[in-house]
Amino acid sequence: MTNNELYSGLWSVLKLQIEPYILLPIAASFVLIVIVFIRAVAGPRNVIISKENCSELLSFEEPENKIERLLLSLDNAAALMLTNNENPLRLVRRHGDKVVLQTLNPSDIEPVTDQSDLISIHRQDFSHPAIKISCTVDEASTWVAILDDLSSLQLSKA
Amino acid sequence: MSLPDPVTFAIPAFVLLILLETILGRFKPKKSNYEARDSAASLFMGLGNFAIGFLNFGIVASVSSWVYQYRIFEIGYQWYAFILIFFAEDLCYYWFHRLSHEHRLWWAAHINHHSSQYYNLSTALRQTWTGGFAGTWLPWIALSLLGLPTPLIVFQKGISLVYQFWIHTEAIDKTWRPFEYIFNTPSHHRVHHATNPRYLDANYAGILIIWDRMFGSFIPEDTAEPCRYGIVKQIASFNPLVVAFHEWVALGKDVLTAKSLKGAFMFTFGPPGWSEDGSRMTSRMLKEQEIRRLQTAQSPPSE
Repeated sequence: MTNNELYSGLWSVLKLQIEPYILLPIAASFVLIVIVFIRAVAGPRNVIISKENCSELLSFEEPENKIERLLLSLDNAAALMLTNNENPLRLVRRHGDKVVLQTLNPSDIEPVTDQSDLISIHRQDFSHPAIKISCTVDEASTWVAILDDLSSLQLSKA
Repeated sequence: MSLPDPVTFAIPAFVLLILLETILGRFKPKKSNYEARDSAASLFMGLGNFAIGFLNFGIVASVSSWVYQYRIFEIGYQWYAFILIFFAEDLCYYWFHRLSHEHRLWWAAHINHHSSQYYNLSTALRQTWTGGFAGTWLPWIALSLLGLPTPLIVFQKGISLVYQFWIHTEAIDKTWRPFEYIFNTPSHHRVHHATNPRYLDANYAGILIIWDRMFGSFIPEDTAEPCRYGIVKQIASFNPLVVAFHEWVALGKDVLTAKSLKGAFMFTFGPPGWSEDGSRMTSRMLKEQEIRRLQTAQSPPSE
């Protein structure tokens, strides 16, 4: 087989009849139509975070751990958890109608200074964006105290 | 010889089946679950893969053609070449796929395909953007050396990709037993996408599940333990850029902060989850932990 035959075979495999610069925008348009269709048929999918699904998630991902304290955000989009683990802080956040569990350090969290009813969690890494947990002023102050205790405990261990 | 591109021909069917599965989910949510943002991420990953494919193809085809000059056998397009390529390409796929799960460099390129917590036909299109640059095409070069023409390899890769589309679904339960024994099916592939510790690192097959049975990586789906999909450390983003690059960012961070050269090497080529201080867990460690947990749960309490 000559090289010419080989390459003509290769291009015949890839032969799309349409130039890529035309094909790609057409494909992107179809993708957008399909997404709109899926959104219209499937509807909005946002799970409501509750004590039950936090507990179920923890028992799947960390079956040896139990929830000791839980703060559900007022919009039910996230929750902060204290567990019986040596590194006890966890964040549960919604991701469509699924949930994601993150392990946090006290330094990842801080109350928003100008609003005492919000707890802010920094971006932890590339795949876990920052999030704010809305709660009552009392809950915020309780959790600030808990986080302070955890921070001091970590410092004393170090 | 002129061979068609199976993927190009299959795209309309892909779109139609995704639309049908979406409608099915409306009436039978247990059989199909679609989230528009998740599917959008998958479809844009597929589109990106298609676009990047134009760049990669030149490089891969050139290497493949160069190696073909030094072929061991003169197979060409004989009738038996089509039978040989079916098995040989699928075996290459098995090893590419297994290595992609067992070594972090290739896992960084492959993780995007597993990053969805949903399992539906759109997940099949959540294809890599970085696999070509990571050299995940290398196992197929062995086929050129064997004497299989590059267009034939490309053709069979297309057939494999098209086959693997339909197995990304919860709508089909188990199929006919002999078929389940030989071929990769939705049931086998659900296990592959599951994060349940007992299901981790299993069922790497492309078309034929026999490779997993032969090489000891087969795990059947157990209806008593439903699959939970995604990755061990789930991501919280529908952004295709995050989906495509999050593991590369994590890998880069780990290598730059490694305490030794050996650490940097192991972060790159060791199993996903390996860490210098042992604070993270590999699949093997997760499986062992689960076995210990089950044994403790089953053993009677000591008096």
